[in-house]
Amino acid sequence: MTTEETSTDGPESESGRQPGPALTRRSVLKSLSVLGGTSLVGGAALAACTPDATGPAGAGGAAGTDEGVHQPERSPLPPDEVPDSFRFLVDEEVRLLEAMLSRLVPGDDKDPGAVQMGVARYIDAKLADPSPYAEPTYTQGPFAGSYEEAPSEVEEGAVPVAEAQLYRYGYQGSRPPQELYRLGLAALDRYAQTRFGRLFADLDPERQDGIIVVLDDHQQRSSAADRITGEGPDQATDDGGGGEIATSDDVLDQAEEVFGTVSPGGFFSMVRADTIEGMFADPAYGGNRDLAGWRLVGWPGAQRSYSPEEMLQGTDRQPRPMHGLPVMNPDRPGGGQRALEQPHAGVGEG
Amino acid sequence: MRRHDPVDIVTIGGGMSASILASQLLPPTSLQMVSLEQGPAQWTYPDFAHNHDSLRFRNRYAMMQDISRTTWTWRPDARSPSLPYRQFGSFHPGEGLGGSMVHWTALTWRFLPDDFRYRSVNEERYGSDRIPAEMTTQDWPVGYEDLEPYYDQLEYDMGVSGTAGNLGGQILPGGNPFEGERKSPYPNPPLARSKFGGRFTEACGDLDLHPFPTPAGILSQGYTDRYGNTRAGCLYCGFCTRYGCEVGAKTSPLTTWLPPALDTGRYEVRTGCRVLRIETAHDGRATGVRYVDSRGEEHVQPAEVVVCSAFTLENVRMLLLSTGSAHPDGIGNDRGQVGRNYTYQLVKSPAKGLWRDEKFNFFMGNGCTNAQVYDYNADNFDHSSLNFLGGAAISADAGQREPISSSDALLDGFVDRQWGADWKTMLGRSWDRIGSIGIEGDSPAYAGNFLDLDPTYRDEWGLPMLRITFDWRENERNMYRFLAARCEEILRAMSPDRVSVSTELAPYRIDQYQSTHPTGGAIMGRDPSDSVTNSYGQVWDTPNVFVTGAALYPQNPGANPSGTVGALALRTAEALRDRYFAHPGELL
Repeated sequence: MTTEETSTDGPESESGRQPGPALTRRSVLKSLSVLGGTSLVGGAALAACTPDATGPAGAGGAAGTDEGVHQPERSPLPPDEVPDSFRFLVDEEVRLLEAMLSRLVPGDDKDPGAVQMGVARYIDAKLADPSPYAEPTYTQGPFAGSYEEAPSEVEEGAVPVAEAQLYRYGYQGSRPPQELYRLGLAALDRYAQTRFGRLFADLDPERQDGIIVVLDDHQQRSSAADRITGEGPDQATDDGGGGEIATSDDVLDQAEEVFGTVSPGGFFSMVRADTIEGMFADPAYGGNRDLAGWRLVGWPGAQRSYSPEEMLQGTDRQPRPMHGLPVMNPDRPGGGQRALEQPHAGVGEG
Repeated sequence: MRRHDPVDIVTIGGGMSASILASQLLPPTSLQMVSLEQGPAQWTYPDFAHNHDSLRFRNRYAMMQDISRTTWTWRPDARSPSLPYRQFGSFHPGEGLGGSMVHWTALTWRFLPDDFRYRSVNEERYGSDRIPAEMTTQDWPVGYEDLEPYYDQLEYDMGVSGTAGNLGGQILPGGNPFEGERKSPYPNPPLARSKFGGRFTEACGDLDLHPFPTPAGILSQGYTDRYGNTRAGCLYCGFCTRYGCEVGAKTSPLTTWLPPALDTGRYEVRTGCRVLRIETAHDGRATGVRYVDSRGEEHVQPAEVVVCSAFTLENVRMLLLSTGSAHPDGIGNDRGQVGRNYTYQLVKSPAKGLWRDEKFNFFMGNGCTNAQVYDYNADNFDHSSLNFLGGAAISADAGQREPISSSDALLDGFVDRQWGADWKTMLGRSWDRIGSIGIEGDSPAYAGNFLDLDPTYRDEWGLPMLRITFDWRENERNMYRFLAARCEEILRAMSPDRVSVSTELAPYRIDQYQSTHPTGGAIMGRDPSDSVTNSYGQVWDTPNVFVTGAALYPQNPGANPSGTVGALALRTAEALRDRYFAHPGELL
C-alpha cells in the first residue's frame, strides 16, 4: 500500500503553505531527518517544499533559500548560502592562494580563470563550513608511517609501509584540510622565500610557475608508477604516469625539507582538486561564478533531459544551475499527476 | 535489548537480492520477512526529484556506505601491511533502501556459457598446464542452461533494453553473437545510441568485429512489468551512475520488486540498522540476527532462515564475524573456505583519442549509451599462442560526463602539465572531444588473493573490519597488454587526430575507481571441500543460512555482475518458496 495521504494535495492546498523565510531548505530537511524519512509529517513538509509551477522561486518565495529544492535526506547537504566575505582564510592567505590559483588556471575578466570563477571563495567556504563539502573519510588510527630502508625507521604506533608502495593505499592522512591549508600556505611562502627571497604572491609569474612545477613533480614522484620496486621488470608501466620527472631529486628533497610536516606534492594535489571543484561544482557551493566554469568546457549543467537527436547532433542549451530546476516527477502545484513511485508502507527506521 | 517476534526470513541488507526474494516469496505464500538495512529509506519521489548535484552525488558519494563509521582494509599481498580504505576509490558499495542497485550504471549481462566452466574450458582446449599453479579458478555448480530461465525472468522484470544476438540458436544481426542461446528477445529495444558509440560501431564493423548496443537495465521506452509497475523511459539527462533516477527509468528495487513485496503487508524493512552477527545455537543452526538500530539500541530478530544479502564484502565479513560454539571460525568456515577466491574486475581505459573538429556530447546519456564487442572476451578467441587466459569486453566511452570528475585526468597524455594556461585552453577546447576505448575484463582467482578479518582495525561497533588481500598477476598483465593493442586498433579506426595509449597494467591501487565489482569470498560449488555454499547460496555447514550476490562467484568473468546476481536470487527464491519450507534446514 502506498501512503497516498502524504502528497496528493492539489494546487489550492499548496499555495497557502509556502515556507516562511525562517524555514530554509536545510532546516526543513534537518527536521525531516529527525522525524524519520517517510513519515506522514515528512511527506507533508516535502509537499510544502516543492516549487510552484508558475515560477522558479514560487510565488512570494524568497529566492535563494525557499526554492524548495528537495535533496535526498542524506548528509551532506549543500550549504544554505555562501557569504562573499572570507571566513576561514585571512587576507594574507587569500592573497597567496589567489596568486597560486591564478597560475593553476590563469584568466582575466574576458576569459575567467580560477580567481575570476570564485575558487578562493569556494575553498574558504569548504574550510569554514566543512559538512556540505566534506569528503567521506575514515579518520581513526593507526595511521601509516613510510620508510625508505627499514620498517624500524617508523615511529612507534604507526603502521610501517614502504614509501614506494604508499601511493597504492590512497588517502592515508590524519590531518583535516583546515590544518593542511594553514600549514601548506605558510610553507609555500617559506619555500618562495628560500628560493627567491620573496613571498610567493610577490614573485613574477614565471617564478611562481617554477615553484608549482616543483610541487607538481613532487606529487608525481610520490605517486609515480615508474618507481615500482621489487616486483620484477614487467611491472614498469605508463598507466596514469606522466613520464620523466623534470625536477631533480635534490630540488624535490629541498622542497620537502622546507615544507616540513606537509607534503609539497600532497598540498599541490589538494589545491588542484579543490580548484577543479570550485570551477565546476554548482554555484550553490560558492564557486563557478556566473557558471563560468561550465561555459569554459561547454557543459549545460543541470538539464532535465536530452533527446536522442541531441545525443547525435548536439545541443544549443545554455548552462543552468540545479537551483530552480523544476521537479520532473509531477505532484506539484499547478498541474501534473500524482507521482507514481512514492514511499510504500512497511519501511521505517528500526 | 529488544527481542522481536520470530519471522520466517530475515535478511541482512535491503538491496537487490533481498527485494527479489521478498517479491518472489511473499505474494503467493503467508511467509513473513524482515530486512535490516544500514542506510536510510529512499524513494524515487521525492528523494531523487532534485538530484542534479554532481559534487554531492558523483564526487562526494552521497549514496554510498558511510565509511566514516566502518570501512575495509587492503594490502597488496600477505607480506604487506593493511591500511583502511579511508576515502572512496576503487569501489562504491551503496547504502539505503534498494542498496547499490539504486546508484548503479545498469549494465545487465548474462554470463557466457563458457564463463560457468572456466577451468574445464581452458583445460580442455589448452591443457591443464596452461593454468598457473597459483590460480584457483573452478567451475560453477550451475551452467548457463540452468540459469537461462532466471535470466529471462530478470530481463522482463527489469525491462532490459538491448538487441538479442542469439535467439533460440539463431544468430541475429546487430546483437552479441557470442551470447548464450536465449529463449526470448530483450523486452525493450536498445537505448538511443550516442555519437561516439556510433563511431565505435562503424569502426568495429570495418575491423570485422561484432559490435552491439550495451544491454541496459534502463528503460528505452515506457514499460509495464508483470507486477504492474508502470515506468517511463530514460531522459538521457546525464546524471545516472552514483545518482538515483528521478523518473524510475533506471531499474532498482524501488521501481520493481519492493512495491509487490511491501504490498503483501508481510514484508518489513527496518532502516538505520546495523547487523552485528548471526546468532547460532549449539547444534550449529542459525537462530536469527543481532543488530543495533540508529539510536544504538540492540535488538534480536529470530528467524527460520537468515540471508546474507548485503554487498559482497559485508556478506563475507558477516560469516566470519558470526562465530559460535559450533562454528568457532565463523559460519560457512568449518573447512576454512570463507574468504577464498576473492576476485575483482579488470576495468581500464587503455586507449584515448582526441578529435580536433568533432564534439561527441559525452555529457548526455548514461553509462549504457554505448556499444561493445565481445570478440576478445572470455574464450571467444583462440588463446593457443597467447600468454594468458580470459579476456574482456571492449567498449566505447558512454555518456554522463561531468566536469569535476572528468577534468582531473582527461588531458593526461595530451598536455605536459595538468594545470596552467595550456591545460586550461585545451580543457576548454577539448572537454567534449576526447573519448576512450575501455575494457572490462575477467579476474581469475588466486590463492594469494583472499578476504579475512583485519587484526588491527575495528569499526564503530567494535567489530573487526574485513581485510582485502589483492593484486593483479602475470596473466592479467599479459591480458591487458594484448587488449590495449586491440583498443588502440579500434580507436585508430575511428580516425582521431591524437592518440594516447597506456600499454602496461599498473599494480592494483585502491584509490582509483575501477568498478564496484568485488566478487567471491563465499563461493558456491558442488562440494563442501572447495566452496562455502551450494548452487542456491545455501551454506554447507549451516543450511538455514543463505548467501546471495556476487560473493558466490568462483571467479569473475569479463562482465558486470548484477545480471547474474539477479538470476541467482530468482533461482534461490524459487527453491526457498517451493521446496525449503517443506523441509526446513535440509540442503536443497
